[in-house]
Amino acid sequence: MTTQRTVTDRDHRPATAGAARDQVRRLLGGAASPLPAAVVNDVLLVTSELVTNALRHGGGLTAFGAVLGDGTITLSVSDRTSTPPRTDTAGTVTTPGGFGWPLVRRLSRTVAVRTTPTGKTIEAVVSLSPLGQAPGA
Amino acid sequence: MSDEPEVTTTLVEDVRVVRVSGEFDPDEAATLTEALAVPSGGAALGLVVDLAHVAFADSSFLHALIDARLRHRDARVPLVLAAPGPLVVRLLELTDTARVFTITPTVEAAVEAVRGARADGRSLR
Repeated sequence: MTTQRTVTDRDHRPATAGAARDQVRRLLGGAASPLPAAVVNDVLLVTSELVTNALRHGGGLTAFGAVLGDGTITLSVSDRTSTPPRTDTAGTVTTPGGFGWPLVRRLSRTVAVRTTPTGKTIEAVVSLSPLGQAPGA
Repeated sequence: MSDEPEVTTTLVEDVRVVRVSGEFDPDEAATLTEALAVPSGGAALGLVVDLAHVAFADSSFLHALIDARLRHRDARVPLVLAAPGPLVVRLLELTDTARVFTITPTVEAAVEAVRGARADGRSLR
């Protein structure tokens, strides 16, 4: 059985990455059982990177959603540019830059990018199990 | 609610100790970069970044640390990260950047590491 709870709708989008994290924190606080701090932090990190990317490089955040599923949280972040995130500029120790998107990829079970002529939506599914596996999987 | 980000700079035994606390977002990156500037004119022996009270950090925070590390290396001034909590350690490990920093468990050890590096005339990583 899947319990779905949506933290925010398209009319209540956060203005900053910090506000988005607060919303996700509240949603996770209502999870069936308390989550380990490390799991919560990973989800907040993905939230932050996605929202920051939309605000900084995506022409602004047009929608933000977070839904609790069965052992997962699905984050969806929409912005105003159709350009997918760049994957060819991962940061290195000598040339900082581009750490955000690799972090999102690394911490998410799946990441889907849907583009339209007016923008894009990135949907990341993050496991809420410390082992990266859904309970019972 | 988010913890307000705060940067406090003190001089400990001629070593500049910058304590960063709270939640850091890209909006604070400029403040952080400024606080982590290379001490000019021998104003300090080196820099210690006290990470014990960081409540949240993302890639913009990491960029500021790496940028500071590169500038200190170029200036041959030691920089040491002190007391990173689990979330900073995870950020460094996920991005494979922990290995480029000198990291100590306490601020005291970090101050000693900076002073030791200066006394030896060697430059830390």
